[in-house]
Amino acid sequence: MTRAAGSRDERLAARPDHGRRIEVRLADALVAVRPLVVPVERVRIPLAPGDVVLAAPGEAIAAGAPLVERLREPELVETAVPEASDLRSGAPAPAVTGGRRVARRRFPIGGRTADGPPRSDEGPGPEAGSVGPAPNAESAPEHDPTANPPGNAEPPSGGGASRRSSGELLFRRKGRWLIVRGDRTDTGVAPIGGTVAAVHAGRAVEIATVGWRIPGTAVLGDPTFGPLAVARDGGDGRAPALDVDLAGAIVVVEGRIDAETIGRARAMGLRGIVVGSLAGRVRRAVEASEARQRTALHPRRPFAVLVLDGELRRPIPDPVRELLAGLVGRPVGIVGDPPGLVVEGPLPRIVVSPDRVVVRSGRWAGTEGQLLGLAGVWRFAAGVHLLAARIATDDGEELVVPVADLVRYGGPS
Amino acid sequence: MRPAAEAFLAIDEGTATTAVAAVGRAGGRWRLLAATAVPAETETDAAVELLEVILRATDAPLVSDLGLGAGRLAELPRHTSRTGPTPTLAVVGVTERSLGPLGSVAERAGWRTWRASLERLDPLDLVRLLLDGRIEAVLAGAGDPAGADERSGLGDLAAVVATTIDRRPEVPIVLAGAVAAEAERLGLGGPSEVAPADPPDSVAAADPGAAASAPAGPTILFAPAATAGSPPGDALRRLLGGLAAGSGAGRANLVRAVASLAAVLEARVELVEVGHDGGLRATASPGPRPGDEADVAATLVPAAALVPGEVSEALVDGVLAWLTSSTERSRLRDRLATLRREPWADLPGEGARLRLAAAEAALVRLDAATRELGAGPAPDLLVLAGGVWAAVPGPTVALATANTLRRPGAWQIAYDHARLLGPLGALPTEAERRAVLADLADDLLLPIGSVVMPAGLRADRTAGRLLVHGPAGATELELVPGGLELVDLAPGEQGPVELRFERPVVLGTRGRRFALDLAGGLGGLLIDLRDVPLRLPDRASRRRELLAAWQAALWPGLDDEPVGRGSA
Repeated sequence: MTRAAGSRDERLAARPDHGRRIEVRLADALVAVRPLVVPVERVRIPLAPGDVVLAAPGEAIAAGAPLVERLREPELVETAVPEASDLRSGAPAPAVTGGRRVARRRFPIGGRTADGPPRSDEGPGPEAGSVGPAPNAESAPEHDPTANPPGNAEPPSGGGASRRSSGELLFRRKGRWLIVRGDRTDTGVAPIGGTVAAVHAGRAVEIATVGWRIPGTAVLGDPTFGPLAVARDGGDGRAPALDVDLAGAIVVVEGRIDAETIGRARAMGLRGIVVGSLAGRVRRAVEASEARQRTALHPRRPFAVLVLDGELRRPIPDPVRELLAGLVGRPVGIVGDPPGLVVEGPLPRIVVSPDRVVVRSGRWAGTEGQLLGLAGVWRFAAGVHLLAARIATDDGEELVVPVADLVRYGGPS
Repeated sequence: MRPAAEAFLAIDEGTATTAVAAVGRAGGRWRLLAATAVPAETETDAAVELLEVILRATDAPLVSDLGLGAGRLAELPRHTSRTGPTPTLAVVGVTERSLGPLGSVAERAGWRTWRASLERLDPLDLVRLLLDGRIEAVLAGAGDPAGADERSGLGDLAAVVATTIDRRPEVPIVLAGAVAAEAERLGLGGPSEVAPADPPDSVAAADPGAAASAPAGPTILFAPAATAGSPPGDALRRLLGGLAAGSGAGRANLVRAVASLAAVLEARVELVEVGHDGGLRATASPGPRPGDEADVAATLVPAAALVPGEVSEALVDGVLAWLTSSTERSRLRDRLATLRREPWADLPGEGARLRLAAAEAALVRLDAATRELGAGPAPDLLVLAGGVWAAVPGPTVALATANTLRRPGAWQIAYDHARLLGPLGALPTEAERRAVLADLADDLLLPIGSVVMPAGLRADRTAGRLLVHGPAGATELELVPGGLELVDLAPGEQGPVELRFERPVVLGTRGRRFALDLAGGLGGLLIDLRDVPLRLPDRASRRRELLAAWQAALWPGLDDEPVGRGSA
């Protein structure tokens, strides 16, 4: 057998298409890769002081099972508490009677009350970007696992008379304790099954699990759970058709969506919405609407909006759409930290060609096609010089696009 | 063939992009061989590979001479400067009044602040704020002694802090002023004495480190009040600066490099950086004798980032003030949020206009936050740093600088286009930095142009005349108050400039006749006879027109049609 002389690099370099292959490989390396899914080992559910976790560390919990009772309107009560060794901030308050209710300050801050973000020069405050606890019950029902078996996507709706939580110790002041408690709670559900790994009072409960997360950029609302469904674009920019058949489901909505549609979806009993993008004004309108409804008396169920890719209008890319289509009917959850759609079990098989790219921004945002290779430095609109790549679109056109505007979807990271 | 050891890679890892440059010895001196930048999410090795392709395509003989054959570039020694995200500090106090000095000191120490007081929030909301996972440290402070309006709330403040310590023991807590002095009485434990108001740098830097090395337990640091020390707040600033040191390492390198550059060039150098997650202004003056250390002052301003944190109404207003295209406010807000999340994307066309407006707004914030640094005489050389300037043509950068940094004088503007200053500032010794910078200064500083900005012009028909003696002959211009004159002076050219004013003006000093020796650049020589400070029309449409007219003259290709479509 005759073999070419020289090293492997030299032999490869001698091949006539060597430069072309380097160019394509380099273009591949320079195009950002966005994972379609990422493995999930822990899911973090945010808590506020006074929220009561319904499962203890080490306890198994099924997806959709009630996990936390959130105070809708927490109040501060100052009271004397009998001395005991386990009195510390974050511990459940012992049952005591009486106590002086501490008046809470509610200064308007940017249109919100003090429950909203604090004044800050740049950053959001606590709970910024959150719709807030999804109200569920006027008063907290005593949790009965048999009444709401694991796996049941229907959390208790509440509304009846139930036991009032004795509250959570916040801190000691002049020999007395400040306790956080409230009359009404909302029930939060586990967005994915697993084992309660840790409970950090007033901060978060962590669920150890084995699953996958489809990454998003933002979530409005609290973790939620339900079977996945897809609603098609209404066409001509109209809002998608959502009806009561979708009650209890998390629905993927393609195309433009407005605050009214999101409000209607919640009212019809949908558990969540997944959108490609959500304009900032829609997001603010939804937040304002939710803030108003927090004061309502009627029970409300968990609901969240998952935004897959920011504020500017962008269609859901084909690989993500295919993956979501493959998950239709499967139970999924929406989590906010980090944002994404979580699912247990094996994923549908999606084949994404390694040279498949999506233009994520700029003039051709949303266009998809095949990466042909680097095109060198090009002069673009407004005289801007950028490293560019050639792509062949699905419509048969060849485009020269800034490399930085391209993204590839890859396997789990 | 020379050994590859005579070359190195300079890598500047920012939060938005990573810049990679190859530097090698050629012709007996260090030279910049090639440079490129990629989004931060791209692997650095891919950028090095791209650099190799560029290098081979541009100067194959030099590559061979330096022994940088296929794949060798990746094996070169690397000098890396890394800038992390700006950390977030919760600043809490009893009154709103006390938050001002505390927050101001914290921001100057490199922290992004969330501020809240018991005057605005009740204890529960304050606890909720401090338990937010995005908070990386807490500063709780009061005056020393506590003000009459603070005394009654100190107990609640201490209780809130104690709750945070209980629930988030991993978060460092800094107690300042009366909260530190009375920590024991307030149940926060602590030393009998607070750190001195003027600790040496080593003390401030050592405290966090020592605390971090402790085996367990919360980190609680005790500091003087925000107004203690000389200058006021310096002691607290140094303590907080030590806590944030990791994220600001890249900017510390920039400051070191500017000091070395001032010594090498024997010129007053000012550096202005607009980054993705913060801004920096540094001034350096050479020492009295060659070899002396330069006199340096620097301030990091998180709020001077291109898009700092969440998009606020004030930020939208600031950018709208410089944007030359009409846009809906909510749409602008979304575009800014996208710019914050994907700073490397959507660069052409409107994207470039948006970046320029955002950069100008950031420069205004930086200037406002660093008044003391801008109060002195104009520098000889203004160095711009940050990837944002690469998005727009050089002459436009000169205009943006002249629009926003208004001070009488004449100075040259250059751009650290290969982002070499950070990595060179990471070189271990001053001698090494100076040796490399002495060779590289011409390569790393892209001449943008020179600005002449007199102040005190009267609104007459003419203010005087300008005579530039360039290589192509003399150019004479009439100076019209309120105008902006552009004189072609190419990069590398030096032009003696004579200015004869009808009446005395301020141009560094007060006088009527000035003779200056100015360097050219991509933007040439900009004679800026507009008001100092700049006054723009209040009406938005009129302001946009005026800004667009100035921009059109200095933005080659502004109205270029988009390119890039063909048939497959």
